[in-house]
Amino acid sequence: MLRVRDDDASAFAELMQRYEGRLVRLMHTIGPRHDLAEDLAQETFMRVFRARKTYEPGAKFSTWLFTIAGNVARNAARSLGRRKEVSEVDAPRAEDSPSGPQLLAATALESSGMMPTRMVEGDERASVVRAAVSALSERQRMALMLSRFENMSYLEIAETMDLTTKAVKSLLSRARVNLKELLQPYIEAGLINSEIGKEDFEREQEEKQ
Amino acid sequence: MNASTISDNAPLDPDDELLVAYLDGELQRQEQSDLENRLLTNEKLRLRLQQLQTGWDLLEDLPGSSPSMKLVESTLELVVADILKDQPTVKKSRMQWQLPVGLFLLCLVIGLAVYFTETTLRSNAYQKELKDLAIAGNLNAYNYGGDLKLMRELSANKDWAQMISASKEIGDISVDNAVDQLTEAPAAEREIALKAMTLEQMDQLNSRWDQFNRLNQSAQSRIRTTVASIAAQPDSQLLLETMQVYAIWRQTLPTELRDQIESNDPSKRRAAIKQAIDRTYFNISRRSSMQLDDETTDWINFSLGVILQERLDNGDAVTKAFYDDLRSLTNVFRTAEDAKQATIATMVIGGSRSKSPTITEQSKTENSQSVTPGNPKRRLPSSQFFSRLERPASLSREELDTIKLPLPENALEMLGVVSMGNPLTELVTLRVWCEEALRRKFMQRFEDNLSLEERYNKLPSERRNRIDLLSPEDFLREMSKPSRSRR
Repeated sequence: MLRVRDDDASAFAELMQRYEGRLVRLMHTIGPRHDLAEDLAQETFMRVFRARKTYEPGAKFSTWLFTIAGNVARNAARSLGRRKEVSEVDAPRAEDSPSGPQLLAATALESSGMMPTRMVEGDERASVVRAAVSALSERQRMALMLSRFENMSYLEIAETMDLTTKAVKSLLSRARVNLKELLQPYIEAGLINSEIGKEDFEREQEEKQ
Repeated sequence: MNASTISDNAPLDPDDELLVAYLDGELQRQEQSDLENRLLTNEKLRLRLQQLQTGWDLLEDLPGSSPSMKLVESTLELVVADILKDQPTVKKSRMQWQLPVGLFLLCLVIGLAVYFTETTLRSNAYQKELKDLAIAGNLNAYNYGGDLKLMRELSANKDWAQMISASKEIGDISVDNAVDQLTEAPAAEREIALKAMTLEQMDQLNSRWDQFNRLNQSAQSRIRTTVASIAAQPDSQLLLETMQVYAIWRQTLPTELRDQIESNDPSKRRAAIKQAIDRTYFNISRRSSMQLDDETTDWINFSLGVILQERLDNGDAVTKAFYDDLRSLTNVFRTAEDAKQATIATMVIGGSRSKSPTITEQSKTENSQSVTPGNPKRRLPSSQFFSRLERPASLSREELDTIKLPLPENALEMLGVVSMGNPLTELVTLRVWCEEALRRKFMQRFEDNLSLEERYNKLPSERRNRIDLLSPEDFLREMSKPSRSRR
């Protein structure tokens, strides 16, 4: 980042390559719409580049990057929210893509027997999980993603989200409890293999012991 | 379903928080141990932990995002566009005001630098000139008074100091106070001292300034060194005053005497100084005699007549014989008064000759004139005649005291100033005054009642040309001489 600060374009390209995938995934989770994930990631990179001169060497770059990403996602959600209010006055909302809760409801309908029972697999399972995550609050989603995919400690998440570690702890607890509550019916209905990751869990427990 | 989720501010089961922290590895060792003990015994808790972990694990199903070079490239394009968009604007806007402002500032800085440099150089040059001007004002002093040993010797010599004091009183030596003020003033005040000068003083200073500037660099440098050396002396002020006076005094002395004074031989130097002081005293006396008023000279002539008469009455054989011899020369001294005057002149001049060779030399001409007044057709007695005669004694100390007694107050005051209380000097001065009194008496006898200008105009052109070259004093003396042509 220090090279980027000194207007080294190639360094910036390297930086983008390193963080682009993680940032897009985060934007898929915390952004207002999936189709905006790449745009928001790009917007985040642009903001990083424009603000490169203000970067302080002591700060961890990922913390700085995800802080900006959180702001970009929040602004986008706010902006879309305003547009949505305007468009709702003029015309009924087009249901092009189902929201997280809608997807979960549809999946639940299927599982209730009104739809043929089958094991949810692959992309569908991912959709269920994504829908569950989407049902979380924005801050819970953000904290969850930073903890799960960026392996950030409570302290680092607190720095990124400008919160206390205690608040982060509570936020993550609520996020995981919510996630459990949202996904548990599918697991209990056998739509989602509850053993997924069980082996990993057991392995982790063994390591801790 | 959405409604069943726990909001950010809703209360949370402490066990859930504990379990999540345990899963995230954020518990302290003791907390972790306690929880694990509980998990061993509490199946419900263990189930909750498992459910929380399952949800966590399911997040793995969230689609990842493979690196997209397209995104990187398009972002880079945007970055470049961003840079290009900003750069010209920045450059243009900067160029719009930076170039003229920069040029203006550059010109301003250069202008100020030139101005201050020039001002400083001028100021330095001006200060240097003021400093040099003070040196030039005392140029002769620094030129001729560089021998500090001699200067200290002179300033410690009482006779010399008295002589200088007398010279100053009589006006033979005058140190220009304006130059003194210029010299003594600090550099910053020299300009004021300069402005306070009269035109005459300025002219004189200007002349010395030209003289200083005509000196070559090494000579100027030598003088500056002398100035610095004198300034460093503890008695610098006294030294400078002595140097100033010495520079003027030495000009009145013959070259040979100057050389002896400035020699390195102490005895020769002391003797020369003494001789020069005597010589100067005589000159002071001469000068003072020129300033005598008619009342004083009348009194002196009257006293001289009384003295002669006393000598004749008291039976001074030599004087009487001399007077009788002159009286016998009826073709030269027609009246008894003429013979008396000639005898008096011999008493005065003869006495002077014995005292001072210089007086003698100075009086030779007048002597001859004093004995040859009257008709040019008269035949003068031969030198053999005078050499045969025994001359009357010169004026004695008592006789000179007799001359001094009736003198007017102003004359006595001048005598005191000139002699500075020195009896010998007083006697010499009185003799010189007697000569002057006699000269004026003879002059009156042959006065043609013409003004100096009329006399000058009547002179033949060759003589006028010669007189034109004389100093004002000599000019006056020459024009005052009773010449045969005027008679």
